[in-house]
Amino acid sequence: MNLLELRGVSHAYRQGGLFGRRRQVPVLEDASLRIGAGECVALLGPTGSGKSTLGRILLGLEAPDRGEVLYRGALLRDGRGRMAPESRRAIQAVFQDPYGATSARFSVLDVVAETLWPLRLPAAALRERVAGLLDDVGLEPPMMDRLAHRLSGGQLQRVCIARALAPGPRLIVLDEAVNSLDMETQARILSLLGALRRRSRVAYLFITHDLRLIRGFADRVYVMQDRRPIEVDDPLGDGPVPPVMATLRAAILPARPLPRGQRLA
Amino acid sequence: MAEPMRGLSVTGLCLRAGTKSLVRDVSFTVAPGQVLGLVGTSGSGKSLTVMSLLGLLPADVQQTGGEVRLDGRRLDPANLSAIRGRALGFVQQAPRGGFNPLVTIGRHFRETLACDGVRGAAAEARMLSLLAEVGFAAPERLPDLYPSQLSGGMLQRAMLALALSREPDFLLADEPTTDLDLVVQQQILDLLERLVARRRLGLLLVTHDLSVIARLADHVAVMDGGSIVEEQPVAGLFAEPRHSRTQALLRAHFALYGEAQLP
Repeated sequence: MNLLELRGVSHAYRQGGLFGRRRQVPVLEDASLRIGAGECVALLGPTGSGKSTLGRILLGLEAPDRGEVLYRGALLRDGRGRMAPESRRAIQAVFQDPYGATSARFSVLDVVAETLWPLRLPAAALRERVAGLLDDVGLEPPMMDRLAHRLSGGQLQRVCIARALAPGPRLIVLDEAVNSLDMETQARILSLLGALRRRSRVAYLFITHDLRLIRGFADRVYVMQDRRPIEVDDPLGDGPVPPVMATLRAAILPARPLPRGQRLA
Repeated sequence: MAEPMRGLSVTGLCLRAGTKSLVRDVSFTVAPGQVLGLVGTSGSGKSLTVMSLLGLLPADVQQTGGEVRLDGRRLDPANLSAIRGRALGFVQQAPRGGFNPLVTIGRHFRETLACDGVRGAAAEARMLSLLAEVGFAAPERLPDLYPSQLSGGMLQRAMLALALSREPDFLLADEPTTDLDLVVQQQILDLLERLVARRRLGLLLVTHDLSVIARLADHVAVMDGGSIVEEQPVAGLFAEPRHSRTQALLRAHFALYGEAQLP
């Protein structure tokens, strides 16, 4: 049984179109995707291709217009749009901008403790739990009393990862979770995420526009083509790939400088 | 390093906040028609260096040393506001933050062009030609739109057009493509390259991304902990990095291309 499955999902947003008219803009059409237990699934696509919408639907933050979302074979949201507390805890998320995803007034402890609320732990036990989580993501536990927004982007993103890990999730949606960080920090966070997955058997949906990040990281790869995810066996290989994947590949900048004159395309 | 007459040069720049030293003895020169890449991790002092060139330092940061010369002429920090925009164009990371959300794109241009006394029909014509230059196929549609109606890539191109509207000789671009996806990033970098060649712009390109440096820079300065630790032509930097910080940055960079192990 799949951990999480999207079946024939369609979704549209109302938009005051670029030049005035209000209209329905389809974002997802008959989109299907599955994530197995402990699997790392990458979802690629350029800006505006619907990959974040798909992530929000998987998280239960939005109900799709059509189609269904199944968690362990059962509907993620009931008829009234509610999610079982257990599946709410089981599916967590880390977003692109760690400052936007945390309150400026919260200490690191408050941020990580957000997902631990339902446990109603006594203060000392809570601090101990948060210290352990901070240690897991490579941060010094004494950091928990600092204001979250005083941290660097890379540190705060680690705090957000600790918050996502706190309730012992089965799936973490990583929506461009490393894209706003500098390259060394990106590399460190990716290897941290890899190690955490090996340790806890958590599954990832890794949403990104940067094809370079999935090498050695993702087990399976989807790309958003015409408002639905298409599975691609070998995204970086020589075989044929969907047109969108070819575009994403062509957009990868050279690893090394080319001689002047060859550069101007 | 001998100081060339033509160019934007910084010598011995020192910045501090209270007793904390933020930027130490930073010197470099941006030559016309050339791209100088300023690279380093977050917090290495890259953006503060750019802000000091523009006279836009945060209130708690003081410049304690150094001077800026434009074509050999010393710039008085007090006069930077007169130079800003006129001689030095500026493009920043998040284009949305650079626009007033309540004002149309057209009004942004009209206000900017009015600084040089360009008004009315002349301003309209100038705005449309600038928008066309940065790659808008139908520039006449842009002026009536609000920033919220444009995508990040469109806004960054509009921002470039605004920065170019006062015909600056030098452009300071701070992480100009960091918030954009790779496809849009490629378009913006292509555009910057054409502008450098066509207008003989001197471009200071600040980034943490060595693939952007590989794509566009002629010369590279690596910053770490507030100092420039290495400066080289781009080919040399990638082939034979000398400083350990540069080597570490390159390792993280090549790991992205599957050529090295993640640290």
